[in-house]
Amino acid sequence: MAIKKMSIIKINNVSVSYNSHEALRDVSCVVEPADFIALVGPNGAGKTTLVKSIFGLVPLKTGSIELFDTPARKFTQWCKVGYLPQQSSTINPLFPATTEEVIELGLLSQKRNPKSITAKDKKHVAEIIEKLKITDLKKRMFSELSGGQQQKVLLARCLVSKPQLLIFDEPSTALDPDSRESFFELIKQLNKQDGIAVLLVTHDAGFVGKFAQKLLYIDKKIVYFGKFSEFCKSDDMRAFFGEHYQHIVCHQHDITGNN
Amino acid sequence: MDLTFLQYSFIQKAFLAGAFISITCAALGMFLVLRKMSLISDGLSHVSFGAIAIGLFFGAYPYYVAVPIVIAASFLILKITEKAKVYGDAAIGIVSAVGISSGVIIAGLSKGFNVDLFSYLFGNILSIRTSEVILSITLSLIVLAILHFYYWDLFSATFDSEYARTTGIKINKINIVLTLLTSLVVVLSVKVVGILLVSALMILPAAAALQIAKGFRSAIFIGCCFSLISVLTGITFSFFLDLSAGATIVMINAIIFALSLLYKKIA
Repeated sequence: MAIKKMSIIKINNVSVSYNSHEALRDVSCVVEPADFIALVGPNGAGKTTLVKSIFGLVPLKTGSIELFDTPARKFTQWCKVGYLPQQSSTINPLFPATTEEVIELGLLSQKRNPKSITAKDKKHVAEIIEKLKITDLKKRMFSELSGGQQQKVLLARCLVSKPQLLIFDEPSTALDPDSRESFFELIKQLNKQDGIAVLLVTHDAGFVGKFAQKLLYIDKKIVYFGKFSEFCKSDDMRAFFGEHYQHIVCHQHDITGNN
Repeated sequence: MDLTFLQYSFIQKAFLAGAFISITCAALGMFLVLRKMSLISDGLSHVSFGAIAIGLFFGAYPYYVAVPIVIAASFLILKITEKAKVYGDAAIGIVSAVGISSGVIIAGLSKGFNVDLFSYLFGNILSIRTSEVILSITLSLIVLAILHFYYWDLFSATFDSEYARTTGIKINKINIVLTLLTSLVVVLSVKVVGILLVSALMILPAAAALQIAKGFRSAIFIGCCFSLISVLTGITFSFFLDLSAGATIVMINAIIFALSLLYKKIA
């Protein structure tokens, strides 16, 4: 019997509707270990819906989703998955938490009630803080940090549970170009060195090709799913996007335009 | 200061019950304030007015009647918010209005216990009975234990509910726990400050602590300290100056809130 290759996420023929409005139509794809996938599409293309359906936050009209070869509805090992939402969109702005306390929240997925943070947990938190070079922020109030600092703290919150999959939803919206570059560089490093699979939602396809290996372009249904390098060679994609945009996206060329 | 007043058993009982209730109110109040649910305590206290009237009408011990009715009302608020096209604040308004009007109607029907019922409006911790002290301490300990049990879930759900969901925390369950605890604490606090001022005991210490705290654990701790100070000094002042204990406690809370605002400005 052939050994079945493990997949991180398997999405089979998923359709999602909000009332009568169709958000996703028959989407299928697989995220494998150590993948770095950019999930790209125009506004309203269903990117966030796809991410929400992975977490079981929206009901599926048809199809199924598996996480680590377990049906998503039965999946409980949330510590394997780190999630970084759009810049602080749901974070309570008055909340008086310190950076350290915020990062500790990332450990809760491994725990049962009554949950508590042990000395060992504190050590993990300290390691992550050091790794992301945010030691100076440790005791500061989260609400008083800049957008870029907050995003790093939230990344630390994801990483502290040592996930095998990181899902980012527009992580760079509030960042200036320099912070964005270094933030994506950091994600790339985590993907390369620690072998963490990354699914990164962005509308900025032209930028992310520098960092990601695969492109998942959706517009309610899948338009393209595959390597960035092959995207460039695809006649279908040239017809769909036009040659100029195709090359901006694929990022396989240097600045002079030579291949 | 003459400390002989501490020898009176009614003062001792008031201090003991007041200390437990004040700490419980402040700890729970912190989550309610941060989750924008603080007015639920106001609405439920109005329900307790109706419930206490029912208890007096049937000659039952009012608090025993109030606890299940207020718990039922809190679930009604959750259900109305969930099922009907109504936001939480409107749902609270509906349930609270029904509570007050049923109390007024029952008081009118009976013609006998109006004085009794209206004493619940302003509370009187100096008249607390030993059995009520024991009840207060027991319920406070239960509420604090449940808060401790769910501390991290409550923290995560309050800080960022969407992220909390992705770590497997059930937000609905957390909301039910919070409303259930609020029902218990509201009934408990009626004796201390009265129906009209219950929400102050839950909102003010948390609001003051939020001005100066530098972390979540410290915010809860500071809130509990403020609340404890206000209840103990409030009881003392009311005894010496012959003021209403409930109103004095709330005014001291308000002064602490004003001072913490001032401190935040200066520091």
